[in-house]
Amino acid sequence: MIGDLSLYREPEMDNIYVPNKARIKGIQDETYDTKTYEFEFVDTAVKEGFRFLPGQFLEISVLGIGEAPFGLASNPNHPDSFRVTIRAVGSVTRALHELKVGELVGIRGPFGNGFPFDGMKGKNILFVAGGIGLPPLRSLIEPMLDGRSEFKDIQILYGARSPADLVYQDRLKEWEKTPEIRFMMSVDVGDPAWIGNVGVVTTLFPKADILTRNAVAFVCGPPIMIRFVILELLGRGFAPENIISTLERNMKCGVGKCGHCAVGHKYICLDGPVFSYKEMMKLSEKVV
Amino acid sequence: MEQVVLQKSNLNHWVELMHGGFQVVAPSRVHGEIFFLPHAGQLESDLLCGNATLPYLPPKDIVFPQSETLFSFTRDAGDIAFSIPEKAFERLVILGIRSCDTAGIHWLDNFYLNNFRDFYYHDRRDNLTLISIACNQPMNNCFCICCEGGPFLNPEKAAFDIQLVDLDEHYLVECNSEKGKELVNLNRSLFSPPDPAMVEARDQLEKKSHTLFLHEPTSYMSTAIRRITSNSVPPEVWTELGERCFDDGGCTFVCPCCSCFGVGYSSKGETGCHYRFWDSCDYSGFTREVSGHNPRAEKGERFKRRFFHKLSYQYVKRDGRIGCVGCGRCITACPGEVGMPAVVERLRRG
Amino acid sequence: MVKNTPTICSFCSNGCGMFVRSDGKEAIGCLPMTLHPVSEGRLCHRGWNRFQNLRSFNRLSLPLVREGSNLKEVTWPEALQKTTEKISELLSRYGPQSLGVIGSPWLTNEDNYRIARFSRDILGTNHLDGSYRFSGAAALAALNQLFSGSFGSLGSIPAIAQTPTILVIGKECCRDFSPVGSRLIKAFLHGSTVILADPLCTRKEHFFKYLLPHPIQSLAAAFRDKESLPPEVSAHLFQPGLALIFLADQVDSASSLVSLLQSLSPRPPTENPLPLMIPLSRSPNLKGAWDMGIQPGEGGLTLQEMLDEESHVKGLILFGDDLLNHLPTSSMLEKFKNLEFVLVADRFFTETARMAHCVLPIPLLAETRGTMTNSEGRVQKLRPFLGPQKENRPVADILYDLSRRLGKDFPVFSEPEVRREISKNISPYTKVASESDLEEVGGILLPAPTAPLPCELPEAAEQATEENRYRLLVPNTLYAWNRNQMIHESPVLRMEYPSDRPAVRMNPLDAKELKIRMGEKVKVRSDRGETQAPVEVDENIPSKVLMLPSHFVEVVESLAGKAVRDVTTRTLFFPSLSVTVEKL
Repeated sequence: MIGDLSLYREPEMDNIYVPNKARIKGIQDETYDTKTYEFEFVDTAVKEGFRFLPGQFLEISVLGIGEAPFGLASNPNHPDSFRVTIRAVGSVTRALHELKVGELVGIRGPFGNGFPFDGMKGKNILFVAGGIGLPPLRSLIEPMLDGRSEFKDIQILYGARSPADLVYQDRLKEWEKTPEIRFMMSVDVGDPAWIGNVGVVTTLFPKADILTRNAVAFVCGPPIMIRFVILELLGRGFAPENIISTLERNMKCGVGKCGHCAVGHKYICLDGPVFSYKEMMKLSEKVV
Repeated sequence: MEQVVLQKSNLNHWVELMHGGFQVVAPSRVHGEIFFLPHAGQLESDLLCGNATLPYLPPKDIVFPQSETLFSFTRDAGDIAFSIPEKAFERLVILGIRSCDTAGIHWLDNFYLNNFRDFYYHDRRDNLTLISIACNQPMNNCFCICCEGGPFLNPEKAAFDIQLVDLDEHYLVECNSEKGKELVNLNRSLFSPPDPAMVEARDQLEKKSHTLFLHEPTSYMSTAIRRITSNSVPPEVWTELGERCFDDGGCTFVCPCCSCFGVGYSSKGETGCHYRFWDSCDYSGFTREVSGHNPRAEKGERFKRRFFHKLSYQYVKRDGRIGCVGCGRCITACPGEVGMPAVVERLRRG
Repeated sequence: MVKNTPTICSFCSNGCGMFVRSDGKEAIGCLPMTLHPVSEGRLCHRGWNRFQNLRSFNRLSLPLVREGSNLKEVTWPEALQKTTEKISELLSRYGPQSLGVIGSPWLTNEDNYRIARFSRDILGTNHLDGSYRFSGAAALAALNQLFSGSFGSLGSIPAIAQTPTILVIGKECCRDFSPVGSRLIKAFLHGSTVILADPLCTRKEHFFKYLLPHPIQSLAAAFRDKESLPPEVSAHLFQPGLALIFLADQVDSASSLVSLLQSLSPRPPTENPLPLMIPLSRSPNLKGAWDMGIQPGEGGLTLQEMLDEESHVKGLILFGDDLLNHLPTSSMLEKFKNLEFVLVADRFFTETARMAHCVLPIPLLAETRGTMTNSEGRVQKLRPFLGPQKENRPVADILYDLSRRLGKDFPVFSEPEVRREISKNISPYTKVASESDLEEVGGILLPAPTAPLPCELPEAAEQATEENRYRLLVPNTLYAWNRNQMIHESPVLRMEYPSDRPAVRMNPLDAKELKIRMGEKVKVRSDRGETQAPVEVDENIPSKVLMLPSHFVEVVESLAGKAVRDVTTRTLFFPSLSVTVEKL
């Protein structure tokens, strides 16, 4: 019951809670429960002014059903065709999966602090991704590949539960072939057609010849995977400030007001979602 | 800061003048409770004097209501139109807010107006004038003096619009902002300059009030703050306190410094809305994720987190002041008798 | 500006006084009432968030009539006409005994009273009951037996704070019913002894002094066999000045409650009066609906008997209850789905409404006038926070309209007029005719009953647990919060009460011993059947105990076979079972 709609007014531009309208421009099936969506803002000014940093996220709403945060998963150097990869786990994501190309959603954002970028130049970069952790890392991998010469070694280790859970399969094939990066992947459980590595992503470490000096590691994936990967990296000599990951929490507003994502004295939506392991250790709650 | 004197018998007249450009709410008794209600007719003068009397809810629900529609939408031929509710009020005066509640509004100002300004909060707060009354006598549960929340507001530290000090037959009207001046200017002839004896009396009253407030249940916060900041409270203490917490959220809803909200989504046919409502970090669902995983499943963890947010130095730095104004409402609202003073006592004892 | 309407909360039987706040168009908030004897300025998380279900978009707005597999929106006259036709058809073909009427603990006293009269005088059927047949009738029937008839108030919630010994049966009585829990804490802080009896508890909270790991069925035996109790517990329990707090919904058989009370008062009643008793419920008007006569008349069938495979009931008229959630066996569900005619009058489009042939929208308790009786026996007035709405119609109007169409006269009385009738016809309610007393905060506390008479009821047999076997406990979760539609309509509360997963819960040490991980399936076998289910690990479950919520009807039935009959209440329940567990 909204009441008398004539008692309503136009929203102002600076209202952080009213979303911008965006149409679904394209849908790509990644796996049995994951799809990648490309969106286009309806308002031209918003569309032309849209920029984001790697690691930031959007609050996407299926109007009247719900809203949830999703990490941007495409190259920030091409903001006009921004993409998000979504797995259906709850009512909002399932409702999103029902939508077709051309339908409208609401988008607020981008929010969050983003991954460090310029400070990474001249370093060896290691990416360790697990399952649905690859999409947000992709927003960092792609611009690094654009400016490839500014970074030293780039290595990507990717693990998923099974071959059916691997996302971006076309891009993975390209990464396997290109000399620009070192790429290895693994699945927890193989299938008859799988000839690659079998085991959790940490089983790749002994075979991966990981560079640890002048190196930064970006880790993204399910919490239990992050925990074990960080232990491995510390064991290999990575300093806590050079291990960078993301924290996830229930979010409602995305702008540091609703209080749901507060961990210790930080808000995941304002001070994160990207944190170094050193910062995580300083939080008064155990996060990893 | 300007000081003028208003005879108590002129208060009604002054409020009548305000009706020209403002809505005025004042404390009134209805159904045996005190609410801030639109002023009509006689003011209840016993609720506007130096004896502390607090309504059950702080006036935070005037700037941050218990629930409000964020926006509504209508679908029409493949497109969607958004609209937001009309302004709640053009200009509003809250007469008779207390020092602790004013301090609470300042906490909310700092939280909601900075760092991504909250549109709805700003829409209300911008048009609000606060006429605060300093307390000469505490109520049973008052401990504002331990939390920089009163009993008198300090013009250097607190940006109040007007503070009234009850001097028996008169109010000393302390005007600390342009909005306050605007109200006094409605009719300058109602006010007279204070004589030195009155100013002296006011300062004595403040000193006396301090003594009276320090007498009754007080919580010396500093030890508790230190222990929480350094994370040195044993987890068993939090578990034990958590067992007395009933996950009702009452303390959150009555606290002038609590600001968390949840968002609800509704739709039927072609229309729908997104609305927000008060939420509480006491609730287990506050952090539960869609997968069922809950980072704060333990009651003790949630209890600890609430007090970390209110008392730790890390948050004082962030929020500009300690997250408690000592109004004592959490003592009334808590079924398990673990309001702020009880917890602070427990933390001090170790 | 904000309007504050003083009324009573409609979630549970505590009956907390609260204000519903509205802006004139919809509910925007809730507040506790400082002066109310039960709420005393506090509410639980359900009460504080009540306004959310009041503004839900899922309210039924128009009547619905079934056409094939769909329900179509129709006008009120059409729906009432269709209902009248079906009722007349059943009456002429099979007679009045083919109809059953279901009242509800989610309706006011006055509405339940009217429904009782409608079923008797207009339809001529004695098959009248409420879903509480399976969740609360046993406790009420036991108390009825003890006091040879209706009883008024058995104790007040504020008095708990002054009671020297408090026996709490079931940990949830404390935190989930916070006015009771808060008096418990007060009592504890003043030195009272609080004893917890809960078979599903290992870690008791610090304000419980003693833990008796017995379900209600075996508590009486434990109390009689004083050897098995710690001496301090015996000392406290058998003194005068005892309060007994239990969840009426979870009393399976009347005999178990009667034996318990008798074991607590071994000497003649005058020397040792019965304890102060608060029978709690997860429905707001359990006692009121029961007292108003929502029980089978002479020769009438209970709900369980109405939905028996062999019964002659062909049509069911349901008011204000999501019945499908409250049925304990799958054969009852089947019978319900195959009835020739089901009329549902409810607020939201529930699962039960989806099965109906005709659905009529009625107001929420927050929008009605009338009274409810809480677990203290306190009769309190509701006040609607909004004026009458166009879309839904009060139960009284529906009953009047149907009666008129059936050619009979059903008088239209206002709520005060109905109360006058109730005060004349229902014995503990003599004082409710006093409108002025009812206006007071805290309403009218019904009179305490006279001393109880001793009585004997046939007891259900208790099973011993052998070595290497687990005890499977099936707590009655038919009135569980996560199945309550009002909870579901609130974004906050549905997160507080996530759905149970169909799994058996076991102690982590037991799981470790059997080498079972969370989520893995096990085979559970009893001497009556077997089933497979995933395991959930819960440190609160004692060793060698399994817990399975009763609303996973198929799983429970495959282990327990047929349910056991309680003769007094004429209902069914599943007793605890001795089972074995194997990893798959």
